[in-house]
Amino acid sequence: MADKKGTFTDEVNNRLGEFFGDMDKPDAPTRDTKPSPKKDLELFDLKAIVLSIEWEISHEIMMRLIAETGRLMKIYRDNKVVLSLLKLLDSVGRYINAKKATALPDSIKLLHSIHTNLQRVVTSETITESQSSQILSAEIAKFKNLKQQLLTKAEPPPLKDNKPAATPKTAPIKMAAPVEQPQTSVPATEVSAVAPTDATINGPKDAVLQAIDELKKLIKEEFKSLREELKQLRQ
Amino acid sequence: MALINPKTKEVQVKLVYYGPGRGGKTTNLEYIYNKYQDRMTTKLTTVKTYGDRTLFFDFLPLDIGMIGGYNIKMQLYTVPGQVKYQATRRLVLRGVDGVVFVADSMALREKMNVLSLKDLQENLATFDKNIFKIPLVIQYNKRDLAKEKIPLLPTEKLENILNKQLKAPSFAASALTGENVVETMKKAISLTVSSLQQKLAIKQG
Repeated sequence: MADKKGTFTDEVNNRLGEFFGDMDKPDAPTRDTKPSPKKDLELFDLKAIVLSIEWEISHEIMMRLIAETGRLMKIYRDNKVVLSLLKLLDSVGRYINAKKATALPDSIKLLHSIHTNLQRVVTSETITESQSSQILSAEIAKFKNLKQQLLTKAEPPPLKDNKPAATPKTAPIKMAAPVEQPQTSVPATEVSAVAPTDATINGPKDAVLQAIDELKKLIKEEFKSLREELKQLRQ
Repeated sequence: MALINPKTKEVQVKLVYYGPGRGGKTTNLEYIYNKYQDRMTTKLTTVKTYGDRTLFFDFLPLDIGMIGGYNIKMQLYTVPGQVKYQATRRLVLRGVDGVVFVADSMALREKMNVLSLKDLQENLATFDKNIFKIPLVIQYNKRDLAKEKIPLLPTEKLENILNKQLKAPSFAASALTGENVVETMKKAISLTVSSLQQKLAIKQG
């Protein structure tokens, strides 16, 4: 590999040029639909908030998300698909706000997915009503999937001696489905990540205690959020 | 140090994409893989699980062919950017020959870029490598967000913050659209392979 410095570097660069050829020009950003600049601006604040969530999940950011979805819900109250997507975003946002770092990883994924599709539905001038409905159905399916994961996570492990497992009377985390499933049947997008299992749960008693604990925390955080909201409304 | 097999005339070179979490390291490799997959014999290996974030690392082998009579096999890695995966980052840096530092141009990531660069310096030092001496290319990623009116740091400011002392080659890029992704990699490979050749020449001669 020994060679003179200049000629060797030239050889490397030539080889790289040959290997990567004339394909190394950047692709133009691809968008399947043409965005509407005015509508894009309406969603600008929401986009900034969602991008912030990528970095940090703080109470302040989550409250901004909830406030912004509330503002947009008023603007889009006559557009059922957009309104439903906003409600989904609001529900997932409230759940993440309550659980923060312990929120299911799929909830963050879902938040981004809803936001991306919301943008698509709002800004596109060529998207059809049926396409919008299909997008909404897919997001609802993902939302239901997440709810199922939460319920599965909350269920106590089966007893070894085949006795029926004691289940807590209250579900540990409540996520209200904001919209009804539309008639159009769209296959649910599979969410790959699996809810982490808690190795410290030894039996139904522990599971119930953990569920109660989680519920207490959730209620506390919900109250805190409500107080914040009331405070903001009074201002 | 690269693995050199004099019998088969083969050199394995390790290039690591480093930078803060959510900076676009994986997107860089994904772009390269998608663009050149027809020229690659192996696949991009990505370990993404927790909330779509890189938990362990991404790995992309790239056989670029004969240079100086040797068959050069590049191994491109990324590290998980999140602060808590310090041990994994250190592990991936073992035996590194060159680094691409992928900085996030978003204004609110300014501090994280600095912390990540310092982290790189410290982790390299654990392997007796000097950030000022290792082949390094800096990429200012996410420039496309300017179109979306997301506040970005000007490249001049980024240069001043991150590259004033290092004086490494740098590129304003967008891993999402592919702008300067290949240029960044080509520069990093060129610097790394040339640096290896120089080291070998010194040892041999």
